Amino acid sequence: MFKKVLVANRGDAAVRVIRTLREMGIGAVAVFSEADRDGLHVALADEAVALGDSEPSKSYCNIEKVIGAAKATGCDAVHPGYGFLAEDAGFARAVLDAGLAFIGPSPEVLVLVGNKVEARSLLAEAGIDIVPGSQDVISGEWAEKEAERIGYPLLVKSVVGGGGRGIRVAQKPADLASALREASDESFAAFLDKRVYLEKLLERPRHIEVQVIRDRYGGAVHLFERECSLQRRFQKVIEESPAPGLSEVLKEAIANTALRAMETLRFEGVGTVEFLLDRRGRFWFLEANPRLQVEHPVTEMRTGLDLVRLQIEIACGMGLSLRQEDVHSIGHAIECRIYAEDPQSGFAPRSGPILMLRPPGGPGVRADLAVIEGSSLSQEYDPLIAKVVVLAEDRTRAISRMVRALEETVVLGVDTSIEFLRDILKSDRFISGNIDTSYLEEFAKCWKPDESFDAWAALGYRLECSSSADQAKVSQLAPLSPWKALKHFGR
Amino acid sequence: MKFQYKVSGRPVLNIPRNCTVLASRPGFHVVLNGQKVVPLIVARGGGGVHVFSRGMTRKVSVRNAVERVQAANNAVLAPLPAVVARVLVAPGDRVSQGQALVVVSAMKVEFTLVAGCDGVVQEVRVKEGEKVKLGQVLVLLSGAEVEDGSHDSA
Repeated sequence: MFKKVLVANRGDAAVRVIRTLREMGIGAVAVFSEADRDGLHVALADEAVALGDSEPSKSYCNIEKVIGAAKATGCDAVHPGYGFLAEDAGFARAVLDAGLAFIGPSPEVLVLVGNKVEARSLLAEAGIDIVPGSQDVISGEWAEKEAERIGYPLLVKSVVGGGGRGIRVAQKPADLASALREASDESFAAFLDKRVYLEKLLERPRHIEVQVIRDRYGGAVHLFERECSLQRRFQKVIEESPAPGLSEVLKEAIANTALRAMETLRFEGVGTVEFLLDRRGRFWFLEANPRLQVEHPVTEMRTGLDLVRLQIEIACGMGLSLRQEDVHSIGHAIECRIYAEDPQSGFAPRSGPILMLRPPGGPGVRADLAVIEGSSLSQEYDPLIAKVVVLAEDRTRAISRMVRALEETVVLGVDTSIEFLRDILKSDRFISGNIDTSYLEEFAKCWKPDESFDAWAALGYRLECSSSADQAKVSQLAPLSPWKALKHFGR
Repeated sequence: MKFQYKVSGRPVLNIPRNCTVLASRPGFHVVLNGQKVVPLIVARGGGGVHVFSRGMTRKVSVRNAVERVQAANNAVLAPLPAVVARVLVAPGDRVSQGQALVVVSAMKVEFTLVAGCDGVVQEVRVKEGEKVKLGQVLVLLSGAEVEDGSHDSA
């Protein structure tokens, strides 16, 4: 077993990995950028190494600095978390070349899986249905011809993208040129790779994915599916398992296809196979993720397993001790990602100080915080504040539990998605399970925060800015002078 | 002078009265008619008070009821603190409603800012790579009708 592991990440990803390392008695080394001096992952780790500038390319994505930190602290392995360098084959190669173990698949598998065009054609050859699209990287005139063949509406997608970046929609031929340019530019900005391909945009599909674990000896199990249709900007927001409304036969077929896909890709470790599912029960391979995913706690809650522990065991050469019949479902799990963002202005991210942060508690509730109270959300990074995950006997109870947990979650200082998430969970369509990848953005268009609370919030201000003697009876409050009140600020 | 509560950008004229308040650091329990309790958790910062109750949060500030002069409708403002990724127009360009003018990027996401009306680009106030503040004017448009001089109230 490893003695000491460097966690090449920040936020919730780093925190999650560090927790398991500590439980396994393995030393946990964090790295941090200038903006993350007060990061939660730094507080939880055994050791922490400063990487410098906050810009990812100068810190978390700087291969030389990260490996230098691992060597300087005497680590024998590196865990990439998710995001940043997690799918970077060059990073995995550099880790191995430095004589360290990489907790993830081999560089060869990362290259194969990371190139979506290649992975798609390999799986198509293996007889797995893929979302119709171009077989090759696309540009200029060739793109127009391919687009006609595939049919509009379609997506222009980065060949190496992830996390919803480098994707643009072309509803009609006139959109194609700008979609190509924008997807390509965003892909280059995020992944230093301009290549894009075309994919058919399916009408109102569901996004279903399967958690797969494979060891290097061919042992493999799936840990059921996750329903991840509720997305904005192609990024998941609410995930659950089991997927509501699907027959056991269909779920089994999807899970077995996922196992076959990972076998074809010769995958090793903990990964996910994503599918799009239509209303008639047809499903197509979308992409494979060769890493832990943000939403993995949904599966951990449903199965009671620790995915990071399994990942570490496989990386140090142990065979998978689980057989498929050992994997049990112990309930219905739902996750909500709480972001600093404004659902009313296109989910624009917000940055700023977290004045107060109180996670929910009680039975069946897990809160994975990404930040610490008193720290600031930096513009440089993903504005995730926390993931709230619940487990209950069935879906109805899981929804009630999640609503209750969200109502307990206090985040003050920045706008968050909490009230929006609560309202969508209480909506008829969510409760009926009749959801698809368009639902969340549609719901957001006509959603408004509850304005009847505004007056109470104003009362909160007034009470806060009044002397304590005035606070007992609101009816006796003196007329408010804002200047008197405001003098308290800035202290 | 008159003052007005602004709750997450919305004006609030009347605040609840005739209720009993129990202090509960860091906040209050409001008792109405001897029974209903509205728990309010509060924190100060960023020039206002942030108030939480059961899944809802609001930022409250108090300001002079006479609003500062808003930027004209044809000003394109930064929707959040960001970096200008691309400027897609130049002064003198004729643009139509919905046309992309500037792309700004923040927290790994790109936001394309589009023209709210048809018009002509009068001024571009930012350069690519420049950091911009929330509400900063990026581009000024002049309405095509105004330039034509044919309609005043368009």
